[in-house]
Amino acid sequence: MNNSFVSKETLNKILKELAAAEDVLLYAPVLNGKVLDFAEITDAEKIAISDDISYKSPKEAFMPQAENLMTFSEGGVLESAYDKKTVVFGAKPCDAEALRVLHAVLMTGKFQDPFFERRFENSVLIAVGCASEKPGCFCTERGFDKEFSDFSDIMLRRDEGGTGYTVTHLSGKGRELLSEFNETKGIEAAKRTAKAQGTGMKKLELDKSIEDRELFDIIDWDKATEICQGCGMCTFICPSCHCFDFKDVSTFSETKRYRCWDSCMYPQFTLHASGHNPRASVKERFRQRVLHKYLYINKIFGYTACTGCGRCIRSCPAGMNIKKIVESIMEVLP
Amino acid sequence: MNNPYLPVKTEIIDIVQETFSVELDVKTFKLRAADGAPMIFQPGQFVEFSVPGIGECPFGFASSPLEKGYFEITVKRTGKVTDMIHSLRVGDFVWVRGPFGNTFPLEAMEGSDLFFVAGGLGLAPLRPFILHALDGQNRAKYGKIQMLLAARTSMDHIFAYEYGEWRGAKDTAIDLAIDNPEPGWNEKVGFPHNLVKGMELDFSNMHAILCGPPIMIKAVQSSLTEMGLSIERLYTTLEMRMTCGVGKCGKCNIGKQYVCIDGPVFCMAELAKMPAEY
Repeated sequence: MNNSFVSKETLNKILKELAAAEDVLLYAPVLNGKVLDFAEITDAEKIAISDDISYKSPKEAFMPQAENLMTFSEGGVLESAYDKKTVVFGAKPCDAEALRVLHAVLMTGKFQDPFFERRFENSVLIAVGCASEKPGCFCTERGFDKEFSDFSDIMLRRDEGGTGYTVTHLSGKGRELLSEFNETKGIEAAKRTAKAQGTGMKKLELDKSIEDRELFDIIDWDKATEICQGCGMCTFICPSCHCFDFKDVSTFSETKRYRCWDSCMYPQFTLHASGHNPRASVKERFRQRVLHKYLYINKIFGYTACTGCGRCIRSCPAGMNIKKIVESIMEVLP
Repeated sequence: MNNPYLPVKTEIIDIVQETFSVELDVKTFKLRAADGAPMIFQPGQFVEFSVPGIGECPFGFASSPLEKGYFEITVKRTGKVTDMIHSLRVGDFVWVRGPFGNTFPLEAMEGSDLFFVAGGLGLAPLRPFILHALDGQNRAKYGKIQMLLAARTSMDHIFAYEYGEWRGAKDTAIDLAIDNPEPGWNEKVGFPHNLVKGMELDFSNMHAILCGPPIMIKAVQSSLTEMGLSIERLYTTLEMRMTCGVGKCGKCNIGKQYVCIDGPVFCMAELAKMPAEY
């Protein structure tokens, strides 16, 4: 047996210990009815190991849907404490790549986000490569490897016999975690074999040299967005969407300030106190979603904020398809 | 790591009722950190101001950056948060974080004439710049200073108690305007974009700084550029919904810019290249 191999039994034992550990939060895919979900678990038996993609992404392990940031009281303001180690098991390479985007947005630039930072620094992301692409997936068109992301801490590839996993990437944090278990002490990442993906495929992306305004009329945005209901589901299940709002919740003696996921698909997102709204229509808002992801964030932070996980396409109640919209832009670009 | 989301306890040390009518109820709040630490800012920047339990809003600084003992924000009563802010009293504590955002290019404008055009509450974010330029130690750095200060009615000019002093400054001219004629009003009547056409303006070495309702900014800009002022010499400050103030929450994003980081001050030449989503 080579020193990159982790047997199924060993992995199960590790997950069991992590799930039971009081000082560790373990996030993993679980079955919620028929839906493959991502959740915090304390019982490793509940982990649903599957090649399928979870309905929700593991984003909330790093940026919870509602996170208490601080508490105001007579005594002043107290930043909320957080010192737990988080282990995320069963993320896909597209989820790991999306975390790279969140990290770029929240941790680079003029300011850094201390709440994201402490969760990120205290986390170990264990990703498992996909054996196949699912309907709606387009990570390979986005230029990613369905089996590999080096933004994971431990990258696993299922071995074909089904007896276990090969470690294909290890970060310092990943190595540290594995060294805590006798069975995986001294484990090394296997040499990476050439990336398996189609050749001659045009990468789905927009050139950074395009002026923002050029894309405002390049396609018929009214037509492209006419079926959108503006429900915002796409932004909530997206692993790289990160826009947020603050909400205060008061009790008799104190006020807690929460950071909550928000969505560019909602009119209130940009509504001014005066009543003026810079993005008043669904067309303008969906265009913002596409261009923020594919152009603006790439210009500002260096990454396209879409990793081709396909969640928004599979889950949209109206059948919106961001991939087709970007393709239609690429077709008419000079 | 310094936490940019954590606000500082701040005391309201004075409140001035600027205007008071059903349509326009504006107050200026004079503020000082509870621990007395000065707020160091430059004209154009803003703070995130919060009343716990009600929420947090961005407001541009409205006071002189040279004043180290306090700072001011001017608030129009217009919604849930501003209703609450207007009910605050002197001695109450609020929470403030900042300063955020960029500044007017003060140094780049040195040596030139300045023309401030403000509509209504739009004068508030220009006041730090005006007070900076009119201050004795800075006045010589700028040429002639002209202002067109417009409001809906004669009761709606904010900081009106200061205009006498401003008018008294060297080589400084102020035109006041209201939308419709009123008995006893001897100054200008009309909309700013029409009024500028009748003003004596020398564009040979001038920067114009505009702030007001979006429609006023657009109309004045087109009048001034038609009259011959380059858009490179026109500046404004944008209002956007801004939750975080630090370029993360996504709300103030316009194209590749975040208004809270890359603005709120923009040169019109730069704005002309941006999507018009403001």
